[in-house]
Amino acid sequence: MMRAAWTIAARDASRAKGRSALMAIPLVVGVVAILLTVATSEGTRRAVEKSFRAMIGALDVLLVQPGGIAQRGMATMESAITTLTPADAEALAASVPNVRSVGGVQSAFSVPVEANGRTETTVLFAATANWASIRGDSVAKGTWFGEADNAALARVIVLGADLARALFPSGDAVGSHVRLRGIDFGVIGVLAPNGAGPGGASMDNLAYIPLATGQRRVFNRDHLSLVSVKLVNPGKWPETEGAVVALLRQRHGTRAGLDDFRVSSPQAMIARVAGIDTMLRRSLIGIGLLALAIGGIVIAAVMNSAASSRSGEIAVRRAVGATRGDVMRLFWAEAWLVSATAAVAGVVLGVAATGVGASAMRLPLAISWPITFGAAAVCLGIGALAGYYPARRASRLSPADVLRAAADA
Amino acid sequence: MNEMVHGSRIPAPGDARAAGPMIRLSHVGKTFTTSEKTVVALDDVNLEIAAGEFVAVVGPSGSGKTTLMQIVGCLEKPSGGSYELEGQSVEGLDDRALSRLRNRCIGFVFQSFNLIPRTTALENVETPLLYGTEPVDGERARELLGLVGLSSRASHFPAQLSGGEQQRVAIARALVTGPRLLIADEPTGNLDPVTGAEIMSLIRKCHDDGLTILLVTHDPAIARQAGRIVSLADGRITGTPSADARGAGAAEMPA
Repeated sequence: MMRAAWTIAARDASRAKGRSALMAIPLVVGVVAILLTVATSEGTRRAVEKSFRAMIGALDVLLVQPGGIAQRGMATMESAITTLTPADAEALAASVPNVRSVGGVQSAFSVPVEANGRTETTVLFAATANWASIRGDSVAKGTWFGEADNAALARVIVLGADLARALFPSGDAVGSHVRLRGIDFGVIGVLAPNGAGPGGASMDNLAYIPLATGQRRVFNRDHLSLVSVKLVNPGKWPETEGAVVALLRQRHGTRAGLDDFRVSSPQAMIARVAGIDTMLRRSLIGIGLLALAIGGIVIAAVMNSAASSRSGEIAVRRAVGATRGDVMRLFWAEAWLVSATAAVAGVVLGVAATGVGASAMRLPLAISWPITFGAAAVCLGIGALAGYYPARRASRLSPADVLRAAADA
Repeated sequence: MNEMVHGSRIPAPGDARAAGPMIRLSHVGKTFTTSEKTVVALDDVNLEIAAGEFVAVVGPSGSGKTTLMQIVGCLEKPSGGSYELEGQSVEGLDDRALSRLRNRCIGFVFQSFNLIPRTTALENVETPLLYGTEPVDGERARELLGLVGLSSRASHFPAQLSGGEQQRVAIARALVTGPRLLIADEPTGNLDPVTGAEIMSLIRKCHDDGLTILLVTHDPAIARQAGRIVSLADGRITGTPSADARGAGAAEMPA
């Protein structure tokens, strides 16, 4: 009777608390270990991805920067590397496959901006009109500039959220004016906040003006400091990266090692910075699985010794009418119940620990539900597997042998 | 009392006795083979027990008493010969059928009580019902516990009960499915004489109620309470003296 097996197994497991705890604890530890290690790596990955998203915007892009490996450093108003041009960007848009659109910026750090008698230092970008859509930036107030503004060298500016708040604390930025290098710009929009970048710096202390306006009125130079290539299919970025490199080498007359540009993929950067290559993740899960396997061995050992130490009980059950199947189900049900309880306890504890760690200790932790359910399923499976053979052994015990041994003793 | 009919070969209740013995062992042998040697536990045993009889099996240790009890109780199959319980040969029955037979027709009482640990007196008595085909009737178990005078001990665990109380729980457990055969293996062996006498009076009461009793003992005083005594030595039946003519040249069973 299946019902009898579950009822009796539940009763036995709850009364033999020491035995049940001995079997359940390694499984609970295994599940919690898996959940916490995965929460750590998942949380780190998400935190890094978030900071990169704040800096780069969308992740489905390839980034092209001027300068070879020896030429680095931030562009300023006075100096910049001049090897990447708007013509390069146009060529990339025209002839590289898997490219949805190409945008470019000139940028300068430490640019003073004045308004309302205040002066703030910001990062100034002169960007193509498609830049906001490539980055995935959204405008919280007002609008972004268009192609017409670019063509007209319009003196319009879009402010980052932090800069807008610093210059216009009362929130009336749109429609106001700011001064940049002695030139008056009309504020047409304020961006939604992006948060902190990978270095922890705010990605909201910045300002955008149309590219042509920047080229002609502010920077007095043509070249670009960053080109962003938005991909149709982000999964194919390695092929597209190869095509971008090949085209630029052809245009610049360079070759590997002597390039005057750099192409990078945010996906690759995130993986590198987070240090979470698949190997690490797999080995962390492997440690948890090892704990679960140990739990399985403990269950097998405890159940196996129970099959011997409970032989008298088994013989009596058989004598009063339990079939071999009844005994098998009784022992197996106990393994199932113990491992199911351990799985539930492990998930509850693991999720709680993740939540406490993430909020109270401000650790970058995040629960991965597929891994959580996977760990619970593995826990259950290991318990069932570990309980199967002892249960079968118990069911094959001859009641006559047991009773004879007891009578002889 | 023969209201439970299993199998079409069993005649109508009233005819059960007339149709033949409840237990018929013919030329039953049992050998155990270990890696070192082969032990003959039973050798050419012929025994018939009628329904309602009270039979004691006596014999020295190692004479095959327990093996005989296990074969009659369908816990063990004979190596040779045939065993019919209520006219039905158990030879071809599988584990499920034998288990059902034990559940419905046979009650066991053991020397060491064999209550299931961490299981209350009431739950112990209910255990056979769990393996039956009918819904578990909690009242039935309670009623049996009352019959052996342990209503107040229903929620006690075996470790909290005295030996005599444990054996009474075991008797209630043996009777709960309404069996027709009660097999008791040294039921008083672990009890003091006074408690043993109480247990024997319970067993005699079962007999008075119509149960067939097969009692294994090495205590002549206990054996004398049976209607018939079967003596075993070295796996063979050496005599079946009646209770009042014990040891006085008893007639051998027909071969």
